[in-house]
Amino acid sequence: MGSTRFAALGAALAWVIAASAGAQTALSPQARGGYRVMTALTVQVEGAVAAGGGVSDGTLWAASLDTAIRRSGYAREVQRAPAQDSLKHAALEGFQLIVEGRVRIDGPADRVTVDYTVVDVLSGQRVLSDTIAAPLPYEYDLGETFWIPLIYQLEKIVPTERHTYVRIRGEGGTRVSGFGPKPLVIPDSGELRVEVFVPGTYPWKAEKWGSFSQSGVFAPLENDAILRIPPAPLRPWAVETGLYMMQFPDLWLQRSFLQDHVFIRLGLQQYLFGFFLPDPWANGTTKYQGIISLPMVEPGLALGYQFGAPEAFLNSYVYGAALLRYDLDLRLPDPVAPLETQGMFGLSWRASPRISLFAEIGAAYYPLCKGYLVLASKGGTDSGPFAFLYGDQWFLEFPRWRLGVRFYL
Amino acid sequence: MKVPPRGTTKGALALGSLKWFFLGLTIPLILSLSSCWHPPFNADLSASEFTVSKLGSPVWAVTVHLYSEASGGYYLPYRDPSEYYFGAWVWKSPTQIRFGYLQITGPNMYTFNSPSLGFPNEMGNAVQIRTPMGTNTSNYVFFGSSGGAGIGQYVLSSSVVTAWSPSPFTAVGMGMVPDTATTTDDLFYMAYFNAGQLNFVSSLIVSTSTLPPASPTSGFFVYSVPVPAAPGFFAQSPANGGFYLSAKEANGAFATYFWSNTGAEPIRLPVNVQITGMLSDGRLLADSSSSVTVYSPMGEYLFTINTGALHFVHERYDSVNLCWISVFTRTVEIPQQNTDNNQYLIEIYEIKTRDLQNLAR
Repeated sequence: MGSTRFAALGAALAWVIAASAGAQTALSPQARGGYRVMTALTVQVEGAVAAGGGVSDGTLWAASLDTAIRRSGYAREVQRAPAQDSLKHAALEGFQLIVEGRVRIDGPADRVTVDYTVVDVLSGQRVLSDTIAAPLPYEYDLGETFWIPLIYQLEKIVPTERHTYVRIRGEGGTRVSGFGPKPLVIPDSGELRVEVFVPGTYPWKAEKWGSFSQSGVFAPLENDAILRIPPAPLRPWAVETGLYMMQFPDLWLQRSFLQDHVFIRLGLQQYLFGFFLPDPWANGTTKYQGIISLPMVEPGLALGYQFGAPEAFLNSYVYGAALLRYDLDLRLPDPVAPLETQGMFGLSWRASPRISLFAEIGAAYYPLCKGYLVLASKGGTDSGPFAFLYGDQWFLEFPRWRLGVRFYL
Repeated sequence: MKVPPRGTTKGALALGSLKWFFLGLTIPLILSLSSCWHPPFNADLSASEFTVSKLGSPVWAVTVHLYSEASGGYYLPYRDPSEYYFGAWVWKSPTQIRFGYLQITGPNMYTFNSPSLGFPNEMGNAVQIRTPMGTNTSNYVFFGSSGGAGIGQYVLSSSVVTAWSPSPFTAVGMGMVPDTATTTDDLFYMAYFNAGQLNFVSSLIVSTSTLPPASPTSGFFVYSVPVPAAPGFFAQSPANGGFYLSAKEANGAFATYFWSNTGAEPIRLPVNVQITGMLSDGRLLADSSSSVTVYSPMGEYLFTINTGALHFVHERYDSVNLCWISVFTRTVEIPQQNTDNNQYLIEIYEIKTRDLQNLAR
């Protein structure tokens, strides 16, 4: 009696310590959606089965057992046991039960006998043993009704499970999913205690506003295992440099908002220095040979929207930009076309949290200009594979493209 | 005992060696996509548009489609505004200047003569092209080359090209300026025969003039200055009667000298660029490829006009309003898709010479 009191007191004390250390969450088997079951079935056929008779194919028998257990709702996962050391594998991989069966088909008699056992993995004990003897079933019966006696008995079994607590450490406010039907939130203390079954594997995902989402697979084997979720704050400031039309280097500063979905850029496009691949058939008459330089810079402002999550491997975005075309010779906005606007679609590849590569394609529209003068300013229609449209007061050219690197500060 | 979790805590950003694979693909991709795209910007056209916006509407304009041979040229109209539909088509290159002509004969009807023989253009911007007042038949070019400076004449009606040098003299400067007394043009050139002795001769250019210039021997000796290394501009001012020589010296710098009369010692003016012309009021012009700078008769800087694709052509006398008019021409070559025959917008602008400062940048 006294030892029982002390045990209860110890349990209460442990609970208080655990509660003070951080929040904790229990997990029920039902909440997890069922048990994890392994199956192992052998089929032995004696004598010939009459043509048009019942099922004698071992593959169909094994598949029908798996399907029946899976369909019952008792198990959330059914997996075929390896040929050897099934108990060991089941334990290591977090399975609770093994259903083993031996099918003996008497062909001439058109009958079948199935001896089956259910093994509790954690205790290693055989918790159920029985036999089904019946006429050899046709395929439909095998799939729909044959295993009902086994399922009926299986659903009464509560396998031995080991509960333990694991600790999840991370920034307060982080939502962690994968340890229950609902996401858990790490409190401000930075630590969360969760009751889990071991051994087991838990795919998890952590999300926090202002941070990258993180994910992984947690497989605690022992009590008090710790899952550490490192801080991964978003980097809202970025500097990017690109090659406009693969020719002209440019520089932009970017600030992102709303979980990196909305961004504003401020930067400079320039034509003082650029690469120019001359027409090899121009026979030396091309004005520029390798390098092109024009006295124009274009300070600009862009507003865009990124579609995917910031941590996505590939991301897509769109933006619109307005640029002031500043003539360095005149020291004035270009009298021919003072303003350029661009509509671009981009793909970025986040090579690392600090660096992404991007490619953009779109069109440029020049408002408030004499379209024919803008066209005349191009110096010819054969300067690359481009198309244009123009009117009295506008000019449109496409495609425009750009490749570059974005550095997150 | 704390047992580290067996599972991974990987972030979604870890990529491993795949990164280098993509980098290896990206760099050649960039190189392969490098293009010969030309931004829609032309500094000359923009400079001209700046000034055109101040000049207002053109006094004459036409749009024509010309053969590919016309590419790169511009239209130089007749002196007489009632015949702006006829003029020369001028091509300038760093080494040569060539002429053709264009005559608009009706709506969408014209006669175009592709380039004929040209003249050396080794004087660069010192080359003047003038159509003398009182004539529509000829354009005169002052050229300089290693073989000596001279005068070129292009007769539009016959496309005949003639060159003349004041042999055995060596010309060091030439110019054509309005004669305010006769409202014609005077052609001047300065030459030397004996080292250290510069003299100049002048010749009245009228509609009947042909090369060689009439009466080229009426020269006067002036106080000498170092003989220029290359021929330049020389003329007598219609305003103050003084003489101006502007040319490149042996050290590569430009020098402009002024003689108040044939007996005066020369004064070096504070102009360090090549003077290329003179207005009817005696102000000096320095026409570069992108602008025209105006100096006072004594060489003080006054203002600069952005020209670019806009060309100062000449002055003409407006006998109705009794004033001198400065004439500009601009030719805009508008590319056409799928053809080498481009469209050309030709515009002629005018402004009173006394209002030129309104065009200052």
